[in-house]
Order: sequence, then C-alpha cells, then structure tokens
Amino acid sequence: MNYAVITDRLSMSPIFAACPNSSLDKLIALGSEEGHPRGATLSTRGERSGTLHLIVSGQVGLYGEGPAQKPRLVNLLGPNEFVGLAEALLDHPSDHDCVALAPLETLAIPRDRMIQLLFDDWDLQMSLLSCMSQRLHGLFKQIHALKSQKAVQRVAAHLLERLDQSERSGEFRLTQDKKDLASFLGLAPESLSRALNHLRATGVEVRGKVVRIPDPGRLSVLLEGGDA
Amino acid sequence: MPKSGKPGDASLAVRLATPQDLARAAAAPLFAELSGAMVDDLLKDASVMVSPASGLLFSQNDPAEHFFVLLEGQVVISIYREDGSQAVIETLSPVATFAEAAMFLYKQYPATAEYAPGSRILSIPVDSFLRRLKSCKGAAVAMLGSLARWERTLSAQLDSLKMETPAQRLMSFLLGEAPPDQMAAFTVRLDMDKAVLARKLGITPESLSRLLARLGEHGVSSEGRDIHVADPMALRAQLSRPEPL
Repeated sequence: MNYAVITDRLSMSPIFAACPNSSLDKLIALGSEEGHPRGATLSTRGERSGTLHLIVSGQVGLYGEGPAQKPRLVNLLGPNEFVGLAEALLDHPSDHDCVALAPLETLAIPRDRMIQLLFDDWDLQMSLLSCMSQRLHGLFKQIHALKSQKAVQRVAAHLLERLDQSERSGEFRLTQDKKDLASFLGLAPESLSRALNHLRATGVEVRGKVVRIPDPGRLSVLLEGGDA
Repeated sequence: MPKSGKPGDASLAVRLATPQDLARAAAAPLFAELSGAMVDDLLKDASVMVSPASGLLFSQNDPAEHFFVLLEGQVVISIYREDGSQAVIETLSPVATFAEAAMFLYKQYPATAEYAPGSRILSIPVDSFLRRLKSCKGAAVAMLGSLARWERTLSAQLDSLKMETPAQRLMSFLLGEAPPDQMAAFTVRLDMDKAVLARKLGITPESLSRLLARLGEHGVSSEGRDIHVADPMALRAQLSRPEPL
C-alpha cells in the first residue's frame, strides 16, 4: 500500500472528511507503514509509548486486567481509528494491552512529531477533536448498552453491527474467539452461549467463527424489544 | 420521555454571563489548560440559564447548536428508549462541560440532558465558539487534552461495567469516595437519590438494596442518603478477592 492510498482511505472517513489533503499528507509523511501479524502487541498496559498507530486495515483489541489478573477484552478499534491517541495527547501510560486481532496494517507516527504538527494545523486539530468525540460517543453507546440491554439484545446488536461492516452478504467471520467476544459484550461465556442459542430461532447460525444471518430484519425486531 | 422545560420555557430565566460565571466556568476540565483571557474570549457569546424547577435542556437528536457548562446544581445525561425507560449515562456535578462531542462531530445531541431544580447552566453557541477557537492559538490542542482525559474516565467506567460484578462496582464506588489509604470508618453522603446511584452502577434500585443488605456482613450500612463503611480495609480485601461477591 502506498501513501496516496492511505490518504484516499482517510479522506473517505467522516473524521477526516473535512481535513484538506495538504494536512493529511503532512500527517502521513510523519509516519511509516507497519504490518503486524495476528497476536502482535502494539502497546502494553502501564507503559508509555512513543508511537501512536493509525489503523489502516485490521482490528485491534484492548485488553484490561480482569478478576484474578486474567486479561479481558474490553474494546475494539478498527480502520481510521488511532491506537493510543488519548495517551499520546496526555503523555500517559496505556491502561490496556493493545493486541492485533487480525493481520494489521498501521501508520506508525512518532508521538512528539505528531504533537508538534498538531500545534500549527487547525484542520488537523478539528479532525482530532472529531476523532476524540467519536471515540467518546462510542464509549457512551457501549455504556448505554451495558446498562440498558439484556444479554440477547447486546449480542444481536453486535452481530448486526458486524454484518453491516461485512463485505459478504448475510455472513461474516468473527475476529475473536467466543471467550473474548463474551468479555467484549460484558457477559459470562455461558450467557453468550445461551444468547446465541436463543438467536437460533431467528435463523442465526454460528459455525466455528463464521456467523450467518439470513434475515437481519428479525434480529432488528428483537433488538427493538419485540418478538422476532 | 420528558417533553417540557426546554430553554425558552417560562420556568427557565436566561441572562448574559457575568465575569463571575465565566470565572467559575474556567474551572471546568475542558478549559484547564487555557488562560483566563482565552476562556473569556472563547465564551464571549455565552448566556446563563437559571431555573428554580427541574426540566429538559435538550433531547436526543436535537440539532447541537449549543454546548454547556454546569455551574451549579445537577444535570443527568441519559438515553430514553421507545418505551420511555431511561438509561443514565452520566450524572454531572459542577463544574462540568457537556455536549462537546455533539459540537465537534455529530452536530446532533446523542443523548438527552435534564437539569435539577436550582441549576445554573452556561450555554455557549457552537458557531461563535468554533470561530473563536480557531483564532485562539493553542486553545484547540488544550481542548484535545481535556477530551483525552474524559475518554480515559469513560473508558475506565466501561472497563468496570465489563469486568466487575454489580457488587464490585458498588464496593469500588464506596471506596472511591474515600482516600485510597483510608483505614478508619467513613460515611458517604450521596448527592443523588439511591435510584440515580443504581442507574449509574447499571443496576436496578431493587438490586442496589439487595447489594447493600449483602454488604452488611462486610460492615456496610445505609440510612437515607448516608452509606456507612465501618471497615474500609475489610471491604478493600473483599473487592480484591479473585472470586468476590
């Protein structure tokens, strides 16, 4: 992938849509393309990182420390999102282990040079304010779901969101195992299994990591609190 | 879903912001790294709303034409579902800014905001604020830092919801109200109803009552808005057990 492709991709995302190419080019010129295999750690909990990563493709899982010091997947980051933006802005250590859940392409940007560029570029400032705002909105949404939705609704909402992002019609492949998926949704693994069993009545099929949803409308009905 | 009490409602008095209002607003974390002169300039077109009664400030999906600073009182940010049930996202205490995300990205409010009786709220027009922000060197970067801090707060709240049981969340809340090395008994005087605390913890009021009763054996007792923790060390030990309550 070359820098022009990265510029094109970024300019298509809502966050950078209003950012002129001249600003995006300056940002991209600071970085270097990096490829990371599945399972690679981009940053470690408790450590400061001198580099932040803008995800070009792939997915990153944020792991916190659960009961008995076991790592628990608590959040996901995808294309056009930064890994470690808040930490870079505050010069704080990471609260999470950030791990590639799938083969990952990133633009690795040295923190100090990005902060320097940021001070002189209003368009970039606005893009990053939007970026942080989107992240806050995403956190709001998840907190809302955890406080207000039943387990089966949370699972249905997540499956529909993943289906929307899928390039294949009616099916997608999970990027994490079921234990991680349960953690991400704030559920015990048994509760996830029960919810998936419940969703079979709406036609949802899970075979290994492949999820098939022949009738997304029935899942939407269930999400709205009706009988699917 | 609440229907009345929008700005302009008879119960809501609106006046120009005074220097005292602006000085109080400057204490909000969003402005923490800005000079007093910068804050005065950014907030030049702000007005203040005061209401003796509770009411609705804005509804989910309203156009985000203003963002706000809570100067006095309390604001609850929540999402209402079709059936009218409420999920509290945040209970704000002074001095706190809110609706910044709507200003920078969504152009609509992603949630509903309601104020408590006696609240005093600074209202800032988004258009003039962004115009002034652009001409005020360094201010936007400082605001980015503030959003980053808020992101970490929400992220920690999310981690807690995903990784902790309701009992652990209640214990964390109580212990968080005292210094980390507190050894002596202490009393938490809630500045919110127990029902609001329950929603904040992501549980029902009935579950909160049950949990408080269960924590009785670990020295927790409650009366009205007071929750007494007799032995913080024992509660901390309970919280750190691999298989807590």
